[in-house]
Amino acid sequence: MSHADAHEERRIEALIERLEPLDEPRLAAAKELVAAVLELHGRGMVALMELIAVHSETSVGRAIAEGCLRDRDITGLLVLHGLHPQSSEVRVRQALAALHAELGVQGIAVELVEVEAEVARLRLTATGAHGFSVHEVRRQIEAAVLEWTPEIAGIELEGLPPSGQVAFVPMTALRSDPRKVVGDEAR
Amino acid sequence: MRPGEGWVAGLRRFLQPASAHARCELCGVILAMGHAHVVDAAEDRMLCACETCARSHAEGAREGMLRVPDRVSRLTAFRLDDNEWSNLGIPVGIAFFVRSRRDGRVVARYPGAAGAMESLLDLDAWSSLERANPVLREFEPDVEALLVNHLDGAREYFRMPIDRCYALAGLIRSSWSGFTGGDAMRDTVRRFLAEPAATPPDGSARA
Repeated sequence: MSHADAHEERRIEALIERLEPLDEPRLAAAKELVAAVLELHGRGMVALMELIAVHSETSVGRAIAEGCLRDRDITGLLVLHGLHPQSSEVRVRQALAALHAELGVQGIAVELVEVEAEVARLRLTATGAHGFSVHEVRRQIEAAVLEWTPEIAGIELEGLPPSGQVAFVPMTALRSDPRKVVGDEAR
Repeated sequence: MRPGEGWVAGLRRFLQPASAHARCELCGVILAMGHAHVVDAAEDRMLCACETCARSHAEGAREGMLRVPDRVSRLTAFRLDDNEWSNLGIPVGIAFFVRSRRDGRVVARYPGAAGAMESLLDLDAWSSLERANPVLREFEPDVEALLVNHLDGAREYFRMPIDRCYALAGLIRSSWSGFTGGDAMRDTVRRFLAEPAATPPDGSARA
C-alpha cells in the first residue's frame, strides 16, 4: 500500500466522522450526493467490466482482467461497486498468504476460518516460541487483509493473547487456551 | 472507522438509510415484507407499492403504471430447441425476456461477471418463438417475463412476474463468483426455481 492511498482512505473516514453529527436533512443530502456520484461512477465501471468480460477469452483480454485483479486500487473500485469477480474469502486468503513470511519469522501462522456477514474470522497459531508484539501483529494482519478486502466490516482474531505489549507464548499454551479477541482491546 | 473495518465497509455503513423500512413509492406508507410492485413503463422502472396503490393500477395502463401480477407458472409444454436458444445470442444459460408495451420490442436480461446485462432481441427470432409457443402472446407486456433456464443441462421455462425475476437476478448477483458464475450461483438458481413462488417478490426471504 502506498502511503498516499492509505492517506486518502483515512481522509474518507475522517470526513464521514465530521458529517455524521449533522442534522437529518443535511446528512441525507450529503449521503444522497455520495450515492449519486457512486451510481454514475458505478455505471461506468459496469460498462468497463463488460468490455473486459467480452474480451476475456483473448490473451490480451485475459491479461487485462488479471492485471485488474492484481492492482490494489482497481480492486478497491471493483469492490466498492460490488463488481469484483473473486469472493472476499479468496482475497483474504491471498492477503494472508502474502503475509506468511513476515509472520513466520515472528513464529506465527494465520489462517482464515470464515467470512460471515462481512466479518473475517482468523485463527492464529504459534509455530515456535518467539516473542511478538500483540499490537503490532494485529496491525500487520488488519492492514494486509483490508488492503485487498476493503468491504470487510470487522476482523476477529482467535488465538491472540489479549494483553501485554510483548507476548512470549509457548506453542502448547496457545493451543490449549485459544482466547478469542474481538476488535480492539478496549472492548 | 471502526478497528478492522475497510474503507468500503465504512462508506457503506455511512450510506445506509436511517430507516430500514421500505416505503410505498407512490404514497409513502411503510411496507410489509413481500409487498407489491408497480412498473412505471414510461420511466422503465419498478416501484415498491402498498396494496391500496397497487390495486389502483391493477386494471391496466392508467398513467402508464402497471401492477406486477403475482402468478408464476412453469411452462411444461414450452418448445425451444438448443439451436433456437443459441440464435437468441444469450451467452449464459439463464435469462429473462420482457416485451415492452410501448414499442413491442423484447429485452433480454441475463447475469454476467460484471452484473446484469441487457440486450435487445432480434424480432424475427422472437416472432418464431411466439409462433411455436402462442402462450407468449398472453404475457402482459412490461410486467411478465419468460424465464429460461438452460444451466447445466436444465430445460426449464417459466411465466414469471418481473419482480421475481429481479429478485432471482439479485440472488444470482450475490452468489456469483468468477467469470462464469460458479457452483454457489447454480445452487441458488436451482433452489429458487424448485419453488419459484416461495420467495417474496422483494427477495427478502433468503434461504
